[in-house]
Amino acid sequence: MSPTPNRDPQPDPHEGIHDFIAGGLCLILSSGLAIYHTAQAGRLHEDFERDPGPAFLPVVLLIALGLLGAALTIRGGLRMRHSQLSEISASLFSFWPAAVAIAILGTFLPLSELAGAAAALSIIGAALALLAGRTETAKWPVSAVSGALVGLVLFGVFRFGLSVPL
Amino acid sequence: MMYDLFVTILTDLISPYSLFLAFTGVVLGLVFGALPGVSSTMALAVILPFTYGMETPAAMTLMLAVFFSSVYAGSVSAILLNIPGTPGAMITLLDGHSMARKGNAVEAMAYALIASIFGGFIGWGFLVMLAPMIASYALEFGSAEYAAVVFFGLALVAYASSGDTLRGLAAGTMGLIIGVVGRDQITDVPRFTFGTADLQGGISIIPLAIGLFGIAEVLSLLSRTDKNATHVPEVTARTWPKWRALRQELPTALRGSVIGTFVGAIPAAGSAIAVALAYACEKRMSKTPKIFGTGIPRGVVAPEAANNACVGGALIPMMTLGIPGDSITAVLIGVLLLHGLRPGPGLFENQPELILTIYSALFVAIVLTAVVAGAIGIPVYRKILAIPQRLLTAGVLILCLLGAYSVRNAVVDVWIAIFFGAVGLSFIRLNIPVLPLAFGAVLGPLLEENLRRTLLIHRDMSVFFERPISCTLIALSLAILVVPAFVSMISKVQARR
Repeated sequence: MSPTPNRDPQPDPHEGIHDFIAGGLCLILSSGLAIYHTAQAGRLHEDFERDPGPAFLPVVLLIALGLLGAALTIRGGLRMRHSQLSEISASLFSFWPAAVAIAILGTFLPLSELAGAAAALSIIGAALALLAGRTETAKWPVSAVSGALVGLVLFGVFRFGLSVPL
Repeated sequence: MMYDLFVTILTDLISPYSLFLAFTGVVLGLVFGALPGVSSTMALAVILPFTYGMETPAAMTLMLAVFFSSVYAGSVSAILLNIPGTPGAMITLLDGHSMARKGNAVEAMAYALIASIFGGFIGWGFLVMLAPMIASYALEFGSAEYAAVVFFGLALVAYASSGDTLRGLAAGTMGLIIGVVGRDQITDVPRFTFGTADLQGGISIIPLAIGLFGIAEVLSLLSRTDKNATHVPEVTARTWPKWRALRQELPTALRGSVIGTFVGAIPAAGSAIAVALAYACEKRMSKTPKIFGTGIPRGVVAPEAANNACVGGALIPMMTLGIPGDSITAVLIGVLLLHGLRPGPGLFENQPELILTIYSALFVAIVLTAVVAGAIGIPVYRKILAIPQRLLTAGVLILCLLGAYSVRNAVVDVWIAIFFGAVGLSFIRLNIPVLPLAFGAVLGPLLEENLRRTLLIHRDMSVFFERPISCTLIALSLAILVVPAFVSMISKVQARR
């Protein structure tokens, strides 16, 4: 006799990974900031209930974040028992166009200092249009030129229309 | 006297400059809202830089026009392409696109427009009626009540946001930490400034919002591998619905509008929940629930009335308590802060003209949306929907960069926007709700100010539990956070047995 199929809704295998990563990030963030905060804003006032001081709310929030991070990590760990490592790597791989776009955006300020804002925005516009147009039917020179034009037009709008000192 | 002031402000709003701003806002909102993947919040983040040099009333006129019309325009791609333009249009596509496939796209869009305008007016009516009452009540609040309101708002946001409560709480806590970055107002002690002078004044909300709602959303679209089909069904019938048919849908529109207004007023509940509730309500009340989803006008009217009524609803907590009702009102709070105004009950006392301007601007936005959207035909939408992804991506991302820079002409704001763009993208990928982060960042200073003031005056934490309003709000917050987890645990245990 074949086993009865399980009709209960199965948890998304990625949810465990998401919880684990989110929890880990919360723990790293809370502990890192806690070390920095203790050095910068001073210790929690002894009588904090009557005189909260500048360290009070940040300390409460860091403790809360640490606890939430621990809870998420544990829940993620429990859920992840059923996930494959390949699912994790596949989930991260689809991230690359966004990572490239962030890198392109990050070049705006150094490029502006080197070549001026107009050139920087044209280059960034071209690069972003190439990245976004990779799955479209337009040829790459068309994508690059149209993206560069968008950058130039927006430079004109902000520099001359809105008088922003770029 | 208030009536005279309202008439004066409405007269100002129909001046050529204000009308031009409102018209521009409506057109931009219709374009952005119709584009699949471009949410109303992203539209507002993109428009934001153009408001920096404006007076507050002019900025609010433009922003509210974009807000209202983009919410309506979400239905365009839902009906024509079967892709919701905004989250609030996700239910509209069920019947709207079915109608379009039968050749009745014009009729479906007419129902969507009429229901949206109707919902907009109902939401506006509730806003005008309820906001002054809530504000006058909130003026009686002390610092303990105010701290409890912020806590309650955060609990609601963590619970109602997509993802789950634990992740929502983590995001909200991160937001509150962002809110306390900078020099302490009382003792001048720096917190989380990492030795840079740029962070001494705290993290500005506008670059943060541009990063979280503008950059992050475009980056998320860029990573999507599923490409949208852009085939618009042929139109065979070009008739608008008859008056009799419209009258039959009136109760549906009314129910949808009331649901939309009240759900919109709950922080973070948002239009996605409102439309689902309105649709479910109509289906449950119908004698023939099976026909829902096959292309009936009622399936378009209910969600469209609800999502546009949410606009007025979301403005209620923003204006009366200073708590954002959704991500869009979080951006609007950023605009007010940029102009040196903190929304909340004090605004009703100190800036009654601005309150009336907001009422009037929303009213004008609704009327103009009816006029402009009514005049636009399907061929125009076909052109809007054909804008290439590459131009949209490059344009929106560059606008975000320049928008962040031009807040204070400061380089650090560009880095903040890029940083929060990356943070927002990570949140989207990890299914962590973004809204609590923005919510926490907006409310962090408010919470700290009121918490410290309460403790300094009363010298004891127990004051929060001694005052009835703060005690009730804290109890409700804990119930919101604990009860659902408890219920789910019990049901899991029962299922295992």
